[in-house]
Amino acid sequence: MRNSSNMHGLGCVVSALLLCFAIFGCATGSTRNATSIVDYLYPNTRDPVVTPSIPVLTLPTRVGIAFVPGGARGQEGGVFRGAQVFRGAQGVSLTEAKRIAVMQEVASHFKKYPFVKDIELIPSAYLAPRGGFANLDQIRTMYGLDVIALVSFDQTQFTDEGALSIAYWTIIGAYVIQAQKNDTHTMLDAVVYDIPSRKMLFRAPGTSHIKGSATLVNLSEQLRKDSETGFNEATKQMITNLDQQLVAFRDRVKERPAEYTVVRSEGYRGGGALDGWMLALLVALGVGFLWMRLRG
Amino acid sequence: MDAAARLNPARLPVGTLLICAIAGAVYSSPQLQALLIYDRTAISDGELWRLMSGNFVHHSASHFVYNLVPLLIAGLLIEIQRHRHFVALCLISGALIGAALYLGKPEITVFGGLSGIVTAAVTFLCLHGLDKAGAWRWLCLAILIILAAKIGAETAFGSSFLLGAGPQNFVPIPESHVTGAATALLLFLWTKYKSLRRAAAS
Repeated sequence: MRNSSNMHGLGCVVSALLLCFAIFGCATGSTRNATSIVDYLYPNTRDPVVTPSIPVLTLPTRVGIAFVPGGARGQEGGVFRGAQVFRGAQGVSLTEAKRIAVMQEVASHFKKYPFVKDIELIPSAYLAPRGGFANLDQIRTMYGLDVIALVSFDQTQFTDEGALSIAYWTIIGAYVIQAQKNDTHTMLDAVVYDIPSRKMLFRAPGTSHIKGSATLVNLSEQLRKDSETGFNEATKQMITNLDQQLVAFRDRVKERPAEYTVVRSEGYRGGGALDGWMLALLVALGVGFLWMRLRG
Repeated sequence: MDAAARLNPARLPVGTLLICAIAGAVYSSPQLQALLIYDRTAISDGELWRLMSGNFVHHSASHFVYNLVPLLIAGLLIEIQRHRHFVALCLISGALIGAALYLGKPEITVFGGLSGIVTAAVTFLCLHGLDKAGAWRWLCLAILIILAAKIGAETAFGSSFLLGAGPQNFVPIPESHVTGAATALLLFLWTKYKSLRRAAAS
């Protein structure tokens, strides 16, 4: 009878220990979500290399923005690496709503430029994984685009336990002690392509690094928040870089007319310009005024 | 007394320098250019300041220089002769040029250039010159006649003869000169009317 009781007690302790290990033991690891523009545009390495031709940029131009789809090499959706996968870990992917929000932010910033006629936000469903330029040609036909900005992202989140995680053994500690240390590295990369010529016009990255901490119970929620903050910060930096790259691109187009052909639509850009007649009239006025002043 | 009169701030062509400084600042900043240029789509979206501010944006270095130098000369002559309302003339004519283009030239999506304002300044200067005596009056009258003929020819033929500006990356818009000249005439008539009323009252 007593032996049976001892056995029961030992079983309870072992079960409790196993439960604790199950709960607290798996609290470190990493998750990565990424899409690759190379995988999207050049999916088949056996294909000959796409040779770009000289782009003909018709101004004002219609621009599309789209997020590159994932779907290659286990990307986008959570690739867990490291010794252990943290509890409740889920690939914090960029939702379609968030993608649209990012694209709208970029679009609202670039609509102000007079050489941009219109900006179309392309939903992810219209881009086939590993679709390549054939897919871009379809989108070009559907939306009437000339230029497209393809946005890819790469976000990796690391979670480690701090020394305070020993408090998890008290159970309550898992709810109140912020012993989970999180690192979120995010990169957004916008690459602007002229679709007909297959020529990359320019690119601009945006990065961010978020450090945070969370309780064990709150870990997933905190990771989602860090993920969103990371994307927001990277988007802002990407827009700033896009601005700079756009200015550099405009200078490049002016400096290297052989590499880029710019065609302006009829009446696209007007200017108030003076001619020789007006300059002659003003010189006459100025000279006449001085002459009369000198004569008193 | 002479020294004091020379140092009188009213004699400094503050308005001209201010307008030229604004144009220079806009030219040197692509961000400001994007924010201020006459862009028909943005104006339709409610960014009405572009109607006026678009005049301060230039499409190239030669475009900038060929507009700024005449404005500097015309502004100096106006302010040295103490004709009032030069800055008001620039702002009002700029806004009216933008409005006229918006209403009358829907095919123009982007516009920039101070030439309409320069035309307004020259017209304003010469109209005031008609009040003066002597050779200056005749010179101003002659220039007004030539200016009217030039604007008429530009409007009729839809082009101008750009001096040394090289190949332009825009379409010249003579309507901006017509609107500038009309604005100057209206402002001149308004100032004359006010001064006549003041004289009658006194």
